[in-house]
Amino acid sequence: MRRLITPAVLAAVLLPAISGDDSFPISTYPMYAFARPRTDRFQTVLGETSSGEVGPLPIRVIADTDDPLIAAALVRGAIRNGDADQLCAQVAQRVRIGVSRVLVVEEVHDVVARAARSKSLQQRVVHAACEVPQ
Amino acid sequence: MSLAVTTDRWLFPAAPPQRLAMLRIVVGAFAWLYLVVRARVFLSLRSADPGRFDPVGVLAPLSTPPTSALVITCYVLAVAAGAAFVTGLWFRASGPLFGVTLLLLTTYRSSWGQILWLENLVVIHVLIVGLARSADVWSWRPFETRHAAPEPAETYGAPVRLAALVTVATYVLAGIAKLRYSGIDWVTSDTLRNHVAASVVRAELLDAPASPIGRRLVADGWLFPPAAALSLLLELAAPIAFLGRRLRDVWVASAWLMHASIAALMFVVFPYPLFFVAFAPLYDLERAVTRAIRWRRDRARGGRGGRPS
Repeated sequence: MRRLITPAVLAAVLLPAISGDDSFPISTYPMYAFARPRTDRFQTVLGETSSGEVGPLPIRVIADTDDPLIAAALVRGAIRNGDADQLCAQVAQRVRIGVSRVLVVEEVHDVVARAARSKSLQQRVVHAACEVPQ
Repeated sequence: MSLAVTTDRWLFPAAPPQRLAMLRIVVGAFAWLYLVVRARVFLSLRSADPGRFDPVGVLAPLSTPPTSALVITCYVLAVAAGAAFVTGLWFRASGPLFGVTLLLLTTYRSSWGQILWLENLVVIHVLIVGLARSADVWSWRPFETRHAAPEPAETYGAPVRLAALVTVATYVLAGIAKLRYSGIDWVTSDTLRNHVAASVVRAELLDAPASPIGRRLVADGWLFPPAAALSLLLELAAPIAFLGRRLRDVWVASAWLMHASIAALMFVVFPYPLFFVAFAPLYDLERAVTRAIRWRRDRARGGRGGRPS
């Protein structure tokens, strides 16, 4: 039996190298494998104060998680599925004092410039905006 | 000796039962602690919007998320089975049960739009160890009579070798993925630099901590193509870990350094290799215990004034 199990497990683990199918726990392990341009799109949720200042909201408020990957996937999925309004309303319920409006946005940045704290924002598309209940 | 016989002996080597038992303890303790520490992450998904559920792997046939009660039951079973797994208690049941419940929970966690690749190898290792005779020694058996430790056998060596092969295979797969999706441009272009910069930007836009080292190094673009070449080489050359102890140690140290660099530059932590557990099947783990016991014995003897000659 062992003579069959070892080759079978190895074949299953290596199969994605041929099929290209990524799943769990059998995977292609594509972390950081895709070409990434210097200009890239990011989906996030911003908070706007009554004086008009705009800034990112914490992932705990956005997605009730401490994992940035989960939060990013949530916002990305909401925009892709047309559920940005729903996400906006959920975040508005969790948001802290001082924020009057929530914006679900997609932004295009020059990532190298942004990392160097230089001007980087090239485009911002607001997919949903909602008032924070007082 | 024919190639077939040599291959067979290499794939199914005889090993002492202590080696597999030690792998059970190390891998099981990591997986159990991971489950406990990340409890909130697993359990908080019960209140996630069901519309986000995008099942993968063994959960792929589901059209709706499992019920909250089912997730809690699975989690409690996993924690209980995990504790038994580490101690070796009722291992014929606890081994497979921990493997299956861990697989279900981590698959559930990766079924919300983001596969978490850092959990794949842990799950496969736990399944391999959990389905093998990993508790024949160094296990807690309150209702059984103690017998002498079994002789070295392939029953104990083959699962360890398989776990080592899977570790190495995952690195090779990661290297192949880079060539498949980006080609050699992954090395020659600014892709790695942009990945590091993007991780800083993503963190900032989510009001999460961003790596100051990553931010600083992104300014020095020349660093990244050589770093990318080294990473790719390290992944594709992972099988050298089987070509002797020295090469194994060099490869393991290099792979660890790569993960440490990713953690420092991108704040993306792969705890399984960073705690060296991913590499544990490449080593004769039982020797560390034997050495520790001998060291303690020598020290005790020395403390009593009887210096070893």
